[in-house]
Parts: sequence; structure tokens; C-alpha cells
Amino acid sequence: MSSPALECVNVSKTYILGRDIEVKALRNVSLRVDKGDFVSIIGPSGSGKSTLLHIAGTLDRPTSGRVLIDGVDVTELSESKLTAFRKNKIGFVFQFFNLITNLSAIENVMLPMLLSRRYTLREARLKALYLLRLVGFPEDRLRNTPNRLSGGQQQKVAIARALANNPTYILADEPTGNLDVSSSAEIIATLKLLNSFGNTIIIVTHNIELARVTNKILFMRDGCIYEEAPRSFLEHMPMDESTLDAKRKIQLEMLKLERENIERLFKNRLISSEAYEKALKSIEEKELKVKQ
Amino acid sequence: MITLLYLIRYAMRDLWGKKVRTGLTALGIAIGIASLVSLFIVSLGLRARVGESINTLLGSSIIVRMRNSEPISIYVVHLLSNIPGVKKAVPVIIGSGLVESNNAFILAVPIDEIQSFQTIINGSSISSPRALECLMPKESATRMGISIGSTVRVVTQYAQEGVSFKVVGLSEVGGLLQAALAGPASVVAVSIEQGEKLLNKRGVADMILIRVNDPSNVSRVVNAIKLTYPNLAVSTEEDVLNQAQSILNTIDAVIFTISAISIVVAGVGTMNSVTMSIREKIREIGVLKSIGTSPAQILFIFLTEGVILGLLGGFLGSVFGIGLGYVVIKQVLPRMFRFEINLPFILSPEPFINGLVIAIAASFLSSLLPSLNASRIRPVEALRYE
Ligand SMILES: Nc1ncnc2c1ncn2[C@@H]1O[C@H](COP(=O)(O)OP(=O)(O)OP(=O)(O)O)[C@@H](O)[C@H]1O
Ligand SMILES: [Mg+2]
Repeated sequence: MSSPALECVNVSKTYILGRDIEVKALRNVSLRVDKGDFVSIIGPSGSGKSTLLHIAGTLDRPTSGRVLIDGVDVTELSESKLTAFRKNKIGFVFQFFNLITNLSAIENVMLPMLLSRRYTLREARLKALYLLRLVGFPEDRLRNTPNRLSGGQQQKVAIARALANNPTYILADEPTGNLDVSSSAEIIATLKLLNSFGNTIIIVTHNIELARVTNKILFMRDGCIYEEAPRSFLEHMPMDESTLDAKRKIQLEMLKLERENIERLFKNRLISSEAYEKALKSIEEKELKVKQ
Repeated sequence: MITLLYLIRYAMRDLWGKKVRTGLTALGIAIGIASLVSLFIVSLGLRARVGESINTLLGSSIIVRMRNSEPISIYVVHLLSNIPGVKKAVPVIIGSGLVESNNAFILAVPIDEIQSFQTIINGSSISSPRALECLMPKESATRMGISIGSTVRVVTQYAQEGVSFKVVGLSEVGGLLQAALAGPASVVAVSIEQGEKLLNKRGVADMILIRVNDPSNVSRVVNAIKLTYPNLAVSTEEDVLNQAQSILNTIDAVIFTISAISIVVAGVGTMNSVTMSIREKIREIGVLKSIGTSPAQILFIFLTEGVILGLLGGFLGSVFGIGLGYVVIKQVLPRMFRFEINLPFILSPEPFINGLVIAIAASFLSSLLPSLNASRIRPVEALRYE
């Protein structure tokens, strides 16, 4: 029953920015997502979530390690094989919806089906219609282009489009990142429903509500992936005494500059004496706080 | 097939979505193509006209001159007419003078030959060799206020006090050839006997026109003349045509250089437009690739955009160009110079098709590079692009 949809084995990704400067976006990440899973990946900004998603989506290649999708090792496939692979096996949902601007809602959903050449125009249209109904897209907006749709509606179209070719899994990068609370709730419910219908979904999110409805939450930090939440995200970022001291110095120097500025303004009669007193008092209070 | 249509539709919507830019780019192409097509039409007319006037003047005749451009003794005329195959040798005297104080070109030929040089549209030809009668082009007669029956005073270097001639006929304004010979001066035709006196060329001719019995004999006659009289220069219609052709080719080269520059400008415009359109769509290209659009399909989309621009511009430009060519031939050229240039306006599909093909080829080539770049965009980078 639980055959793997995605397997990442010791995947690393290193960006080389210049001589001696490299960013280790992923460090030896191993991950297995089974068919039917609903997995969320959470973690701070810059922890490598998008990078992992791009590699899982064959948009990018790992520096080392292997990626298996539906049992096929795609690590070394040629660009054109990858294009075909993406078309038939992977659905993407993005934070900024990324619909094709000059195609209508229904045409956006039809596009992957027509690109795959497996559907006739009629079939594609009908299936697009079903998919849009499934995600709760309003039927009177089918012919609207994306610029005449709300964010929530656009994201529904994007989800329907991701499902078009019955992908092995859907990858969603912060699908609610650009939506208000109620639209987010709708999208979350929709994804949950689609998963209950057997679709495998992998999402990256900052939205705890969304993470909570998934079957499995993975945590990322500094390019590493954890099954359990690291004891505390904050625990890993203490400020040591020396940096704290340096920051205090900066704050004091800045306040000194403020004070000089206020005095100059007062001397040149550019502010009233009350304003001067008030500003001075606030600066003194801040200085006290630093020294405590 | 459906996929291709879908991609074409994508390209068309993209262009339709930015009508102003599309329109301006197509207009740029149209201007280049219009200049090319109109010049092409003028050149076609020019060629037809030159061929025609050389043909009416010469037909299967042969022109004989002295190699050193000296006058030829009239005695040679008799010798030449005895060569087998020669029907007739016609002496021709040419020179310049003043008619009513205007510069004029004097053409003197035997009166029975005058009509093969000048087409009379009003009046009659010269009545007798001794008559003090002349023919003038209608246009210059009108300009000087001269009509049939008027008397004009012809002055030359050798007849300084002038000789009065009665204008008996008005000729068609000479073709291009005549314009090239006489420039803005008018051509006054008189009998050869009067010409001898006016130009002091008694017993000589400037050139001899030889008519042959049978057009297929021309080359044989030419060879015979060359053999017997090595110091005579012989030219046939073909030689003159070839000479004219090489002049026309030079004109064409200039014309097409100008056109090529405008096409390059239009091509750069298209390249700019397609590049801009790709710049704006980097993210969307990333999305297209992420849902499985292949590089070849991306290439196809943007090449299609370029070709549609070319098609639009080429069609507009060809139509404009044909109109412009018509205006130039019918309105501008006849009035631009002091002598009239009347070229035939030849409406053939050739300029239209040429314009269209060149526009499409130019826009295809100029959108190739940006489109290739677009097809090579890596989806990850495109998706991170803001
Ligand atoms: N093309 C690139 N070149 C260099 N460094 C990159 C590139 N793409 C990403 N990075 C770096 O890799 C690290 C991981 O980036 P990534 O986008 O995966 O983070 P993320 O977890 O998705 O962050 P966020 O939550 O803000 O989207 C970051 O430090 C980022 O600066
Ligand atoms: Mg990200």
C-alpha cells in the first residue's frame, strides 16, 4: 500500500557565490514521502525549503545525492526527459499563484493536459471543469483571466492545474503565503480534501494551521531536515555576550547622534523647548535601558 | 496539433495584450518594407521603360560611330548600305544650339526616317528636305508658348544670326533615353539637309543607323562591318540594353542598400520588442517550463510572435509600398525634374510577395536570438525572478 512517491537520499545543494563563498542550502537531506501522504515542511526563512522543493520537482539538480520519483532515479536524466517527467508526474502550486496571464482560468487548467498530448480538446475542457468544481472555483469565472480573479480564486485554479495530469505528487511552496485568513482556510480545506481522495501532497509553509492538518510535519533548519521539532527554534539562536555588547555599543552611539541632532535643532530654534525636553527624556530613558 | 494551435494562440494573445507595442513594431517593419516595395516598383517601371524606348529607337537596328568620335564621312553611308543584309543606312547628325534662347538639342535625320525617332502627336511631319520646318516636344512648346504654325529662331555656333523654322508638329516627350541624351533641353528635329547647315556638318554624320533586312542577320551584319571598317564602333540594341542594364543595376544596388538599411532597422525593432516581451515574462516562462513546456515549445511561442509581427508589418508595408510606388510613378517623378519622366506602373504580385517574404524572414531572424535565449532560461532561476 505504501510505496514511496518521493525518495531523497543524502541530497546536498551547495551554491557557489564566488571564490571561497558558498551557501550550503541543503546538507545531506534524506526524505521519503509515500503515496497518499500529506507532508508539510516548516522552518525559518532561508533554511532551504524552497531549494528542497525545487529539487523534488526536478526544476533543480542536487549537488550530490539521489532523487527517486515513483521509483525512477531522476538525478541524471537529461533536460528534455525531465521536462516530460515534470509534465506527467509533478504538479506545482506557488506562493504567487503563477497562472499564465493571458489564458483564462479554464485554459490554465487545460494547458498541462494539452501539453501532454494525452487529452483531446473536449476531454481537457471537461476534465478542467471537474477539477475546478472539485477545488470550489466559482463557475461563472471560468473565462476570467488571472488579473480578474481574487488571490484565493487564482490559487484554486493553480491547484486544479497542478492536478491536471494526475501527478505522482503535488508540491506547494507556501500556498497560503499570499492569502487572507478565510481564503487560506478554504485552500487548506481543499488540500485536505484532495489528500483524502488519494493525492500525495508536499507543502512548504509558515502557516501553522496548514501544517497541523497534514499527516506529517518535517522541520528544516540550516539545510538539515528533522522528523521532530528541534527542542526550540530559539534555543539554537542565542546571542552571546560579546555580540550583545557590540549591539549595546551601537545603540548607545546611535542615541548619542540623536542627542546631538536634537540639541542642534533646539539651538537653531527649529523645535520648541517642550519638544526638546520630551525628546531628551526619551533618549535618556533608552540609554538607561541599555545600561541596565 | 492542438498543442501547436494552443501555443500560437498564446503568442497571439500575448501580442494582443500589448497592442501599442505590437502596433509600433509592426509599423516599424511596415515602413521598411514600404520603402523597399515602392523602390522595387519604381525600378520595375524603370527597367520596362528603358527596354521599351531602346526597342522603339533601335529595334533590330545597328548604330555605327567612329571609334574616335569624329564625324563619319557621308560616303561611308553608301558603302555600308552595300553590305549584304543591310536594308538601309541612315545618317544622323546631332548637336546643340538655342531655340528662342532656350538650350536645345538638335537632331537631324532624313525626313523619311524622322518618325522612327520622334512620335508625332499633333500636326504633321516635315514636308520636304529643303523646308525650314521642325518638330518640337509638346511639353517644351507649351512651356515656351509655341504652337503649331509658330516660327522659332534656332541659333547655333555656325548660324549665329539664327535661322527661322516653322513648327509643323509636336512630338511626344521623348522617353527616358531621350531625356538622358538631351537632359532638360528640348529636342528639336529637323531634316538632315537643314541640320548640315545649322551644325556645319556638310557631308558628314555623327552616327549611322543601319536597318537590316532580317533581324536574325544582325550579328552577321555587325561582323561584316567590323571586318571591313575596323575603325568604326558598332553597337546593337543588345549592347545598348546591356549598357543601360549596368546603369540600372547600379541604381538598383543603391535602392536596395537603402532598403536593406531600413529592413535592418525594422529587424532591430522586432528584436527589441521580442526581447522586452521575454524580459517581462521570465517568471511566466519558468512557470510554463515547470508545467512541462519544452524548450522547443518556448522557442516556438516567441518565434511565432516575431513572425506574426513580420506578417502584420509585411502586409501593411507591401500595401503601403504599392500605393507609394503608384504615387511616385504617377505624381512625383513626372514633376520632379524639368523634363518629364513617365514610367509605367506595373502591378504584379512580385513586389507584394517579396515584401511579405522579406518582412517575415527579417522578423524571424531577428527574433531567433532572443527566443533561443528564452528557451534556455532555467526554471528555478526564472521562478525566483521578481
Ligand atoms: N540561486 C541561488 N544562489 C545562491 N544562493 C541561493 C540561491 N537560491 C537560494 N539560495 C540560498 O539558499 C538558502 C536556502 O534558500 P531557500 O529559498 O531554499 O530558503 P527557504 O527555506 O525557502 O526560505 P523562505 O522561507 O524565505 O522562502 C538561502 O540561504 C538562500 O539565500
Ligand atoms: Mg522559499
